[in-house]
Amino acid sequence: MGIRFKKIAKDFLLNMSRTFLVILAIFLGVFGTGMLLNLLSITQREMDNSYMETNPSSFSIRVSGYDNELIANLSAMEGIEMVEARRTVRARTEVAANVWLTSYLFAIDDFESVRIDKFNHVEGAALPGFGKVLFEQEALSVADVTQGDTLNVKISLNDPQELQVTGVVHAPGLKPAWMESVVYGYISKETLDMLGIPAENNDLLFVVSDEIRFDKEGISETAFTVRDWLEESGYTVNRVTIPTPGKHPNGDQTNALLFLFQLFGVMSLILSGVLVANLISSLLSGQTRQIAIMKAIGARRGQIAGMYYAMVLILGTISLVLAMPLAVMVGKALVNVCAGMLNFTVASYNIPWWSYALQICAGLLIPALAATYPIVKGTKATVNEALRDYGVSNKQFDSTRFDKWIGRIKVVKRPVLLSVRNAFRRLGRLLLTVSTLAVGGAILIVALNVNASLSNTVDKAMEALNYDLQYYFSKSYPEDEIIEAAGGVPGISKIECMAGAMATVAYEDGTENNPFQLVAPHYDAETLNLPVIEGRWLNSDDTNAVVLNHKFADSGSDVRIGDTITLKVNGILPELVVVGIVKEVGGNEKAYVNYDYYQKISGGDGYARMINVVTDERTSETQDTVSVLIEETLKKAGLDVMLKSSFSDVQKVFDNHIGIIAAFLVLASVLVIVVGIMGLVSSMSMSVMERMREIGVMRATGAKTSDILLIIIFEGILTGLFSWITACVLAIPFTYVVGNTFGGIFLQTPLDNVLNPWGFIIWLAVILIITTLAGLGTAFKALDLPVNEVLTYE
Amino acid sequence: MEKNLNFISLRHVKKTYSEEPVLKDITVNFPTGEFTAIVGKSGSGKSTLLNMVSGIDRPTSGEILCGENQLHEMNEAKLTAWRGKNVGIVFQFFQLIPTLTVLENILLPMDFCAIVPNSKRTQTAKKLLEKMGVSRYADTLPTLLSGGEQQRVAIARSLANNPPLIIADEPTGNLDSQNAEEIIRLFREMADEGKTIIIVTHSRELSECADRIVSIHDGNIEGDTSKAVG
Repeated sequence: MGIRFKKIAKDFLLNMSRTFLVILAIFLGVFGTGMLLNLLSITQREMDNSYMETNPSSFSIRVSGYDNELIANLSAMEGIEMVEARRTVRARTEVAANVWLTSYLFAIDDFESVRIDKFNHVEGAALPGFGKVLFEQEALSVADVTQGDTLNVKISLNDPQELQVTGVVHAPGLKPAWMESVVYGYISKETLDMLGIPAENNDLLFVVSDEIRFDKEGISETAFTVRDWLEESGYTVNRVTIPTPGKHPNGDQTNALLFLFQLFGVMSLILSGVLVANLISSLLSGQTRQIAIMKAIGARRGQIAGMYYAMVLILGTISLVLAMPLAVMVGKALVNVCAGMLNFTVASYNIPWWSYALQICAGLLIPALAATYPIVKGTKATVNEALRDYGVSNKQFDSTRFDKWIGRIKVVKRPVLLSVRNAFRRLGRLLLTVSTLAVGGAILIVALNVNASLSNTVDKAMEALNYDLQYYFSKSYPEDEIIEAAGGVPGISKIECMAGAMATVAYEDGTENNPFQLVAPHYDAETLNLPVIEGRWLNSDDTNAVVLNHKFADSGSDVRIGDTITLKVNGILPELVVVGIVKEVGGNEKAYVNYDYYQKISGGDGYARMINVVTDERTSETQDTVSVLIEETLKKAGLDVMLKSSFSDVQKVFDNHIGIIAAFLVLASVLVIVVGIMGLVSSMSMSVMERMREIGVMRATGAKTSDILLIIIFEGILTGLFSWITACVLAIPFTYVVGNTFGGIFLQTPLDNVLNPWGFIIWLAVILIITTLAGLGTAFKALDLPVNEVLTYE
Repeated sequence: MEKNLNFISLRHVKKTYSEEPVLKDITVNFPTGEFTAIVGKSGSGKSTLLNMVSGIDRPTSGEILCGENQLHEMNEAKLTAWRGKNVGIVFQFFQLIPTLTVLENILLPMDFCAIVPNSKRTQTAKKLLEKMGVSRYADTLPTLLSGGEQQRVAIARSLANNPPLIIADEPTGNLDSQNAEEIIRLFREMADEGKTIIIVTHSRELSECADRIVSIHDGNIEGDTSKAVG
């Protein structure tokens, strides 16, 4: 080993604490970035693969009364790769006494030849017999059943029937059951018949040819050609559904999560870079005199720079060796957590080369770049300058206007004044320390703000739903009949009826969009309180006015206030003027028209399809009690409930959706606090080490222990406070940027951003506690040495 | 032919720090093989003069010539290369690298300058330590040695690349009289072997040992006395 490298190795050993801090800083940067990159790359790929493995339908058409010959004819059409038939029915499953959950039952002719929207057998029976059901694996916990259990299932107006769970399947193409609070089951046609539904298929699933597999326009064109052909052939097409090609139904949430992974990956890289720059700068400042000696005995600048770059690369390599395997391990473990939550299968844990390349870059290139300024600065000084370096600014204090201003502060005690001046003596170091802490603090504050904004958005969304229970009937019933039946149930303070149906937008070229819910509330409905983003809500005298929710407005239809759209609802084509856009978080695309107008165009007279119920006490217990009573009453009155949801159900779905994100944000915050604390402690310790001689002089001239402590601790607190202010200033705009971007991906609308005071308070508390503890630690280290040793300290 | 006789020459050298003149107008020659002592009070400019000669500082104006080399026009990289080949420096506080052993401290300048072939470096370093009487400390860290011993190691290091010029700033300033005498003897021996020696000193003993004494006062050369060559 060459003498130069021997020197480096010995320097490491001599400065174990500094070396350890640099390794730890690089380690945390590589680990944080690597873990997130690994998680991101595997999750993205496996979720897509898992979804594509199901061979998802490119579009589906709801049509009835067809046979195998029609399927064969459709299969031969241009652009169609394959066609399959099945029946999908919405049902209700009794998961506890009188507690009914929305369920989706898929009735399939031949379970062994499913080619579209496939699912995998997990355990138990592979084929559901008569009166049996195969449960999607995530639905087991939602319904609180295990294989072999039986439960009541009810479809529409029919009586409930007992079904036994005989097998478990995994359907990665469905939204996770736990997240949606729904049950998915696969049944045979015979069982469907037993539940009172004709054993005929109602859905045609299509997969288009490879050329247009991911081309939404091409798929739409093919879908509407098929629809036209079906209609021309005499079939009644109820609905054409075209999902976004290649995008999992939970893609928005996954993308939001992936956005956070990317964001925090980049942030941890930046944080690590700033911290490493700070630490390496400190490490090199302790080497100034040795650099001078080496230059004096003939070392060229490049040789010295090479030695320190080699040192940084060795430290980076050590960190990489430690961090990369851990990042792989933790990343893969988190992939399993994500796979469980988002219900996808992980076929391969392979990590792409670019993830490793970026980790190596984070471990070697970033530290080398971070070290460039201190290395250039350290090796640039002439031998004479370097030999005269006393560890702090080599220029005379008082030489700049800023120094003079600091020097004029005389309102505080002299030791405190010394702290203030000391804090500014190495302005570059101060800026680096403040930046490290500020970036760390800002990430923490932003993470907590986004979390609070998410909760605030959900709270506001829940406020907009000013009801406790909502019932959606199998068909429209007279409003008077509904009120008469449900109005007598004790514990109810208000019932509001709304009309509506599924509708589509009919475009001039003959195509339609995906079906959406058209709701017709009374203009003075109090149970719908959706915040208006643009335009206005419905007025009493509105006729052909329509209000869209933001998801509808953003769904690619490019509709603006004042535009006229043609809807297709129950076979009629009303032309409506868009008068407003409302924010409706968590829901699907919906449009709202006046109740009276809807009755007029639909030919109904006082009919309603759904009711919103407000209970007296508005607690979840009351909701449960009243819900059971209403169901019984409506059943007795012959009013069939197709769907029921309660405020607490909706709240639960929201909580399930944001739970993962909230957990991730908290995890990221903890990581940031650790890195931030490290930055502060190292910086303070470097600062004290650099002034060890000065401390010795103060002690020699009579400074008491308390004076030294006060000076060091106050300097640390002052640095911490600067960083806290910077973090707060950075965090506020950043919160809005992240909240708006994240909300846009996750909810298709910016979050209702709020600033969480706890983020600011927690970071201030962390700063104050850590600066005090770090100050005490480093001060005692300085005070431990005898004065004569401190005076000769290098 | 004056150029060939003088190892290094300073012509009208001025140096100012923060607009304060430290060297005012110095013209002086240092002939090859001569042992020169620069004396003067603290702040007179003698260390600054030494730094000009060793190339670790540059003049504000004036010329410094060493053979064909014009030091005042060289950039830092060229000065470093020149210094590595031509100058050995001895500091008052020894300035040995504390993390390297005594032997490794001698090997380090050889490693940087690559003048001595790699295969001969250890042997050369050991010979130098032997010559300075500190070979038994070859594998010891410098901090475990006395001041006198450390200064001998520093002198050995200054000779590592066998430079023609040895510069020393107060080499006995931090030593007791016995050690100081030993160091003075070593400098005399080096001069007798043909090295050009320039030292800054307050020590009367050391200056008396020199061939020539240059006195500096307030940035100017006040006196320049040579001993009669016998």
